[in-house]
Amino acid sequence: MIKLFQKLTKKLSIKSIVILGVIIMALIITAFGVTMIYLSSTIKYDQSTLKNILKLEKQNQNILNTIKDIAYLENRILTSNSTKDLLGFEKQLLGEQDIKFSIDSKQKVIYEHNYSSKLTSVVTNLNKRIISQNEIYDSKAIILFYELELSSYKSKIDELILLITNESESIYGLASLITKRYNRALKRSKAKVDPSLNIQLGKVMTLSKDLDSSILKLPTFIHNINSSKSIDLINTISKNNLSQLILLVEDSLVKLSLLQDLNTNFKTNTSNINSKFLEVKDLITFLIISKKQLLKEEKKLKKLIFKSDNLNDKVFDGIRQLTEISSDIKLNILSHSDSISKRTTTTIVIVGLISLVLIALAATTLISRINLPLEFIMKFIDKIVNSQKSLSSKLPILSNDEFGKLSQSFNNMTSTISSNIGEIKHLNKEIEDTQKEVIFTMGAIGETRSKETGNHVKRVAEYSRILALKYGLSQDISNLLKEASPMHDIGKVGIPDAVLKKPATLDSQEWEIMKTHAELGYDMLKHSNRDILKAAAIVAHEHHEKWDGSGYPRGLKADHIHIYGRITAVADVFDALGSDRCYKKAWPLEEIKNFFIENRAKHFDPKLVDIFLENIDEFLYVRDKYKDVFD
Amino acid sequence: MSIILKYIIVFILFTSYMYSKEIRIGMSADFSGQISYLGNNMKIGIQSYLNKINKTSEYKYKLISYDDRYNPLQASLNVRKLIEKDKVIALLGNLGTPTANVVLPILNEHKILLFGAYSGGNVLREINENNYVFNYRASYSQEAYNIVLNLIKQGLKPKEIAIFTQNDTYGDSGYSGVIKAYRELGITDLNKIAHARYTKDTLNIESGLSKLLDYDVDFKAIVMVSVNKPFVKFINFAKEDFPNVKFFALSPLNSASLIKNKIKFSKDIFITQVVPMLDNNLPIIKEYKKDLKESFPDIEANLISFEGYVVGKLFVESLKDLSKDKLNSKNILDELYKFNKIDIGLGFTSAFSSRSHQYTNKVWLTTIDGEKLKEIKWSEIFKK
Repeated sequence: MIKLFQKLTKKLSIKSIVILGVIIMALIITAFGVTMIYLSSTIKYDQSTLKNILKLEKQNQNILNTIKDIAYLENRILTSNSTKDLLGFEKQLLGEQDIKFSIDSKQKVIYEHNYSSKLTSVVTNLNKRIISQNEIYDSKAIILFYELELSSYKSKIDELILLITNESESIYGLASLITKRYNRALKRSKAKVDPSLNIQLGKVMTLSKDLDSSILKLPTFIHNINSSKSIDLINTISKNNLSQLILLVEDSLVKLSLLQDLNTNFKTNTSNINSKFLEVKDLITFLIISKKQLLKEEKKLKKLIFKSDNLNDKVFDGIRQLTEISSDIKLNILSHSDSISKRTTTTIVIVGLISLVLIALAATTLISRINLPLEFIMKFIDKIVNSQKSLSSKLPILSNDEFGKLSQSFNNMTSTISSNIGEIKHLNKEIEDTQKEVIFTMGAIGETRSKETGNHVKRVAEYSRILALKYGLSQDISNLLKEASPMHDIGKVGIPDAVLKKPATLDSQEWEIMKTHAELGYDMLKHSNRDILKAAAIVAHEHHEKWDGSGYPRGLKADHIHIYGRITAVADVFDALGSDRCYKKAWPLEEIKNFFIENRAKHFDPKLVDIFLENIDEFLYVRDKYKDVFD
Repeated sequence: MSIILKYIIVFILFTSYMYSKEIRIGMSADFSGQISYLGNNMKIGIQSYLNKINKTSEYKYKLISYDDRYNPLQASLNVRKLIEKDKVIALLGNLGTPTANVVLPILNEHKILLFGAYSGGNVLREINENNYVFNYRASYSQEAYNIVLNLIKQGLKPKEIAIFTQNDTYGDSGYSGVIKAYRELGITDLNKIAHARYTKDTLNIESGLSKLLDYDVDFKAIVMVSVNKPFVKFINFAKEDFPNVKFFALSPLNSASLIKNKIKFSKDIFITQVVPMLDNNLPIIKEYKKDLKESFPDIEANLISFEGYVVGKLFVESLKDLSKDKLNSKNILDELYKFNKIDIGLGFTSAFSSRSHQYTNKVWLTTIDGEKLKEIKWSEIFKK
């Protein structure tokens, strides 16, 4: 795959590969980002849904609690026995306005319609329930009112009956007492006989007894009415038993009132009984009416309770359905979040893998496209540096990319450099040659001022070089000395011809003038910066100095004499002795050798003398090569 | 914070200390109803004595009283509250027989003592059933019994004595005493006893009086077990038929009211009392007058508060030897059974026993002398 990729990208430049890589990565990151944002938005949606579900569930719980509260309160209302207790519950009664249940309109649950319509029906039922609760309260209040009335009627009736019986007892007792007293008096013959009075008193007693027994039956019937649960039964009792009883009492009362004149107390008692019995009759009527109303109200209450039970069931059922829906939603959310988490993981893994592959591809490609050509170029440069390849050799162009261009540029550069170097070398050689020529010519000029031959200069040059090399000086220095040594007698240019060319032996004054050529040569050359001329100045100045300090111009000793001077001295003397001159013949070799042995460490550097003697053949070869030919 | 805590701790310690030194006694009676004069006076009497004791005693007696308006239901609620909430160790000076009827089962249940109730009802003297009741005073039955026996002693024949009673437990208690006396005299046929009733809460005495006429005897004495109003009416009626008859009433009769209303035939009215008259020269009477003045300076001495005082003193004295930190109903019962005869200043000694939960059977006979009651001897009644 990597190779395929490399093949595909072969024709693309690195820059375009990098741009391409960046674009692809940007696309991947964007895709990844978009996917994640999408997933997180669905999670957010789930979360808000869940929150709403929880709110709704809490609301459901509130509704259930409300129903329970209502049921509890209602139970207490129904079991309360007194109006006072009942009134205590009035404040706890819920009104419709106390119930605020609704769906958040912003909530866009998938199940919204289903849920909200159910909730609406639940809340409607709850409201109905609240109304029914209030109705039950009202009904119970009415019932309690009637019960209160009934019990007050009953206790009033009981009280009145007691009073009536007391009155009738009083009538009876008084009638009895009067009778007894009459009989007692009769017995003791203290009073007149009036049998009709006794009969009448007897009637009074009987009537009061009858009245008593009749009126004492009243409570039983009233009790029957009071404990009756059916209006029909009440009607029967009141029509038959009660009205008969009342007739009986009234009959007794009418008869008693006929006899009330017997005693003033009777009159009071009878009228008391009359008025009280009227009250009793009224109270019984009221009692029956109240009782009937009570029964009606109880029936109504039963219906209300049945209705509210129904409503309870409806609300409970509605809540159950709501709970089912919300638990469904919760399950969905759960599975959704499960899938989301799976998808997230998958996305991350896939994106990660793709990114890794792409990064690996890019890396390998870049390495192959950058590192390999770079190394190749560097190796090539190394080779040039190490002179394994010539500067003019060409770097092969491997690819068409930046490195191809770089190689091309490199090749151009090396070829330019190579051609320039050639030119420089040529110029340099020319300069050097000119210099050498000048120096040589200058040396030759010096020679021409003396008796020396033209080849003398060449030989001294060669001898100096050989000595320098053998002495241990470097190739360059040796070559330098070779170039410089010919100019050792340049100072002779400044010696007057009278002295210089005097064929006779020089007197001491003339000799002193002759000696100045060393100083003169030095002064001529000392200002130059050129290495050759500097070396030539030293040679000119010191080539007449001697090891033991007996030389001139400065009388330097041993090491104080520059090695150039010491070498040139040996070379110059050897050539003077060893070469034929127009005016003399060359010394035999043995004499020359002896001369140098004698002057070792006197005139010459002992070490140089040793070198000379050891390598005498080389010197001789040079002497023969540049032999002056005299015609 | 820590300061508040300290105060709380101190308060707890203080209250527990107070509680430990407090002996709580309960009382339920009519303090605002028809017979509130009885309840209030009983309380005054008891409190007078307890105030005196509390002055010197390390242990303080505390009387906790609740009003029952002579209503049995309220009385039962009060007693439950006293026992269960206030943790009283005994009840003192409760009032009335109807209230006692409902209170007694509660006492049996909790094993709490009822001491010195202002009632002569028989129900309070049924030792086997109501073991936790101890009385100071003679029962109505004993009062009636005493009257009959003394009348016979004065030479009256049994048939010359009539009985007129209220048709309730009060009347029946008295009647039972009379029957007991007649039995001792050898009369077992109850039909031979001239007895009539009147209806409670009415003035219908005519019927009863007419029944007495049936015996065709000129009665010399009528034992009256009744309350004031029918008593007054009956006297007026009966004097027409029996001009020489004398009336004998029991201690519940409100003699002060009779005196106040200047009752006719007062010379023929005799009332037995369960405490001695206040002009007696007995130590306890002096003590009572002094302590009453100290605690309630504006209230005049009377027989009812005196009975309260006697009850209070008898209670404290009976338990004098019992260590106060061992005061509980069982220890109290044991202490009362110790048969230690004591004289509380009434001029005689007596004691409780397992067979008798009543300190004394003694009754004092009194008559109305002008503006006040005075003690009279049985022998003086028929002397004229």
